[in-house]
Amino acid sequence: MSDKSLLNKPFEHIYIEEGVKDHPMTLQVLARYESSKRIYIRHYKDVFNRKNQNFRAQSMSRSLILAKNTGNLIFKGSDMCQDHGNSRFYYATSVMNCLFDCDYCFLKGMYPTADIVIFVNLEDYASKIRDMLQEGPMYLSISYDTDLLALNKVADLLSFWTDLALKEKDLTLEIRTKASCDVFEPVPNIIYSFTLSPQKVISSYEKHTAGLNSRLQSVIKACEEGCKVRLCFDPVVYINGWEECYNSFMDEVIPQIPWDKITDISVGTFRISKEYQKGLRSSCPMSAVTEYPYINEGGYLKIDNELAAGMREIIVAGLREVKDEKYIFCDSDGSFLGDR
Amino acid sequence: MIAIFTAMKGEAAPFIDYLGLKSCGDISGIKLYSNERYLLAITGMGKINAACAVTRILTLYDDIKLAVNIGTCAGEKTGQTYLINKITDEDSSKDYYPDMLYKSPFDEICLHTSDSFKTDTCFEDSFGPFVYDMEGAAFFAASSSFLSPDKVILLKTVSDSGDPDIVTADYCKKLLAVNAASSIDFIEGIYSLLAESPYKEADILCEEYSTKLKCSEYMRNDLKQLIRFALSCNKDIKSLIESHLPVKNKEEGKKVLADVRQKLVE
Repeated sequence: MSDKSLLNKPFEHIYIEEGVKDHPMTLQVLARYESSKRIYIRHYKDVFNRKNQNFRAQSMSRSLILAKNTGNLIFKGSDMCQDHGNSRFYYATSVMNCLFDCDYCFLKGMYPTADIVIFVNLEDYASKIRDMLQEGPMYLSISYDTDLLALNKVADLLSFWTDLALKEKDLTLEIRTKASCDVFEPVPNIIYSFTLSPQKVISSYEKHTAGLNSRLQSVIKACEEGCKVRLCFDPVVYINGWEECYNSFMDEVIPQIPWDKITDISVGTFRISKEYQKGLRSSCPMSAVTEYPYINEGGYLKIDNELAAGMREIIVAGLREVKDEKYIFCDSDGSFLGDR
Repeated sequence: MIAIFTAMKGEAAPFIDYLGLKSCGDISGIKLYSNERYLLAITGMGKINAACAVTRILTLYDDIKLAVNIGTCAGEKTGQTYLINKITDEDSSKDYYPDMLYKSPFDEICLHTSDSFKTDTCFEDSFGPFVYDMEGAAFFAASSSFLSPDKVILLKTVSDSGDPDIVTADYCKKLLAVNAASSIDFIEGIYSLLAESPYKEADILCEEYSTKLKCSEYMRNDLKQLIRFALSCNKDIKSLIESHLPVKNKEEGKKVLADVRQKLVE
């Protein structure tokens, strides 16, 4: 697309399920987007699940959908995600899709649209989680299908989750992000999980996300505020000159992080379910990270084992110098360091 | 190519004049007009006519990148042209949603479609105001089997407020002529944004080297992917392949592909 001035700005159109038009969260969002056109709908799937959608075009001018989730609210964690030693590992989908536009993101393969859905019935999530906590402590990732920190300017979902974590001590929340942030609320059972990537990777593949320096400043700020902080060197992706790129990246990152304040670290090379490959490539054609000739192992696409090991080793070798191995988790892509 | 569909000749006339379209015959009673960029089809009235015509045309012409339904509708504000952002088929209660990605000079509204003329003056339901026609839902349903919803556009101009008897061919022509230029400007803007296939260069290379490497269909897919990857990260795959040519048979071609792959991902 050449002339972006011909495109509507993001969220110029907001689709609202008739049943939630008066919900407080709906009203909060609409107050932030007073000039957006409102289109009232029967069910979010009528928009979200349309056939033959063009993710690539839609991502230039995303629409927002406000809806009620009447289906599954909490899902068991995927084998492809690191559980960090938590046996009751789940994720919540209070939002579908992301403001950011990472070339390699699995959401492009998983969802038929680039439009973003916010489920406003957070009270139902709270109720479901309280029921599940009756059976024991749980670890819940709330930012897998979106970047919740980035989305907070659209809808203040963080307040809800923070309040819930403060009330439910057996609930551990993980908020994963590529955004920058300078205000953090230190809650003992919330882990702020920052994805770190080389600036070259960010510029090439992680559109609209915060730059490396901003992410590092956010990490430092969160540590200073006393938050639990996880660093995710994940996904490590293929890029031209990857060896030099990741070596310089580690040289830049290592001196800046207060390692004694880091809760743990995850390291993983890119991997994705084979099912998502087609959507990923059509939404991001001719990007080296989507077009890479991945190998298929058991239904998952991965970088060749030897190359992946080389990439991982650059990260892990650097981390070993500053952090005990037992805090470094690499299990989701075959190797394992972390002590459970 | 851009396809414009109208139900009646009176709705088509301003666009035939404005774009300088020439008659190019008909297909099963669907009258066609065209120039090198546009194809205009007159579908006839009603949902079945619209669905059949759209399906027929979009099947025959696989170079159509954008489908536009232009026509009159019933509504409150006579003369007002709208860009449709939601379509409700009153007969099935099914809703359809074109993507609203492009800035337009027109107000937006919901369209209701049914097979019968609207003779009352109610143009608002629990979801808000709407206009009413007899083709829109069918046009969208049929078009979106061929094109993504960002490439299906509906522009409707209010001709009457529940009084279909006043809608003559001449009346339609005069009414739609007012916004013909701005409608075409809007359509041209969208068309200018539709990118060419990102794989054009890769496809040409694949065509060339799949023959030279004596590829089977399976090998051809591998080669295609290697070429796309190489071009995406500015690696000189042509030299890599050329250094192995010529190959005698498929087996040798396979070895070349394995070697090229190895070198590309180093």
